[in-house]
Amino acid sequence: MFLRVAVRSLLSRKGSAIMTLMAISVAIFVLLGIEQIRQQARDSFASTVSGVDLIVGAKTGSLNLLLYSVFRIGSPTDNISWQAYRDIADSDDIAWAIPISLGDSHEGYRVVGTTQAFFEHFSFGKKRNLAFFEGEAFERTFDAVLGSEVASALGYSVGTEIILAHGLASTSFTKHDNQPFVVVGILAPTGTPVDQTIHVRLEGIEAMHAGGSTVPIGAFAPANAPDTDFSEPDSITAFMLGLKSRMSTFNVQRQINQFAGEPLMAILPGVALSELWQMMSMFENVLRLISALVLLAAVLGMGAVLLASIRERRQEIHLLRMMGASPFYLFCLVEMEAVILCLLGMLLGGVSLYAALSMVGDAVFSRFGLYLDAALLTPEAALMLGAVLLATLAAAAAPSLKMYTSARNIT
Amino acid sequence: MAVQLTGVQFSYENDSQRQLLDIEQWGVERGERVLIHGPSGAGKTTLLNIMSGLLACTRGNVSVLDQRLDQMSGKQRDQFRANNIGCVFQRFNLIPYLNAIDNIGLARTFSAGGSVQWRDEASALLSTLRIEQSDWVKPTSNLSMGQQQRVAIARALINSPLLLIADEPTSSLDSENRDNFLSLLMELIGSRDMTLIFVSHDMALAEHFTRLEALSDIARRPC
Repeated sequence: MFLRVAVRSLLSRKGSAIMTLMAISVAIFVLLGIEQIRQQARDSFASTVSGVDLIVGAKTGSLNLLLYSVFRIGSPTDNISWQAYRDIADSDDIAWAIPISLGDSHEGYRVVGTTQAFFEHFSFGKKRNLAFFEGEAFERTFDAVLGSEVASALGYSVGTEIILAHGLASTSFTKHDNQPFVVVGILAPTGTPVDQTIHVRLEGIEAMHAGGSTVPIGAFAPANAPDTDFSEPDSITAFMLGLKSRMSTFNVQRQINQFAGEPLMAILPGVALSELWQMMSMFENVLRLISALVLLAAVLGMGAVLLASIRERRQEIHLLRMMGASPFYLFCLVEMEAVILCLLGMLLGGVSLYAALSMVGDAVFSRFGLYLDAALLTPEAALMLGAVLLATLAAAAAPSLKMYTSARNIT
Repeated sequence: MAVQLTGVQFSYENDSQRQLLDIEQWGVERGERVLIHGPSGAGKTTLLNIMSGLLACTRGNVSVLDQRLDQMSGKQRDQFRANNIGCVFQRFNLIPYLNAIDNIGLARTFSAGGSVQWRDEASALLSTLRIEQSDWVKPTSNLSMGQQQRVAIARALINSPLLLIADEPTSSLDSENRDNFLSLLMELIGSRDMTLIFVSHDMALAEHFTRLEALSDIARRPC
């Protein structure tokens, strides 16, 4: 009966109840939505690289190495000799190696020289391998494989010819005009920097820089058979390693860091990624703060609306007291009204967020690479909703106390 | 005794200089039907509030149905009122957003008899009070004043109180509804052996009561 009275009481003030409910729903929507995005951003960030045990580059800071090798941000301090790469990649503990050569660009997108191993072994997310949206991996010197964003932004498809430039600006002066590359494959979206990268063979980069002198001249120079005996590059920028046994990770890392030939360093991508994310925790906290403030505003608004209603309820209070209701009962009645509004707000906000996510989920994934999963009730979200309920009780304490004192001081 | 007041004084905490009520000795026997009349603002409602335990007197003994209200805590008085005292006012006798049945059920939840089968009793009361069944589940704000006051009787009697306190319950009614209301009220009270304390300025009602009291005779007010 208590619950029935609270519900009926709210229904008798439909207008203000609905407005308050909407404010709370919006706040819950924002709160859960931001939490969802924050968590997914962290997850997809942490899974930018997976399955790679070590990343090796010239001696520099570990974040710097991570940034240029994985995120294509910043510039490498130095290159690694091809010989050093071969020495390490051929050692016993290594299962596979992916060499990376950076330095060229096309329309502002970075070009990465690598090998077939990249498509075979590079994985992201929960050990997901790269998949082709269209076409296939490169086989010839002047083949190129585009990340999904490059293809969609520039409108390229399989068969398009592209000219690469040295340096990173789209208006670079040194364009390797004489050597157009042909798009042979387009990767499916990954939500990682791979989407913004153009992949070519190592020897493609070499050939391009050599001005075409090492390969037959002509627009369709790579029309020759898949070349196996290309001139090996002198140096590469970095490489990724997969180990036969993860047990040897630290061992191999130490060996590389002490590599005699030249100053090298190896980093564990997982560790470096979480270090980098730590630096962005400020951003996370700001997001959380914003959603907390939105919620606070909604809850305080509810408190104000309930408080205003107490004045109109004088006669009701008197009647309830005469019927035998204690002042505490009336206190609880107002709190209950607040709790009903709060729970309905959670339901409404949660459902609309769920609906919104399932509607825009795919679009967000393909555009921002954020995989928004519909599982809203994570333990953290549940904890937050608990906190919301407490905030509601606290904000409703003011009108409830007002009700209590009016109930005690009947005149 | 249904009510026994001895040396009762009352003033509001924030205005303790002004005695609103000062009663030396006054009592009501069980089964009496007392009509209290007096000018408005004379403290009739305050007197009723003290007898119902809604207000605690500043000084003196208040004994209702042989229980000392002045020695009870606020919570005990609330419980006592829910169990033993029915109240009907001039208006606003029903929670407007609940229907008749829910109003009666709500009154029931406050009494010690709590959740026992009350629906049958409520139906019987509403039938006796000639409220049509279709009106039982309408929001009470849709009922006429006469209907509302009759539902109020049902609400006041659902916990089978021994004392009924009525504060000008007929003042908002036309003469036909007033007579209707009074005859039904007296019929129910008679069949239940209840004590009735009824406040009104309408002396024409006197024939229904066993005793007539002027507030000025009950209380002396040092003004």
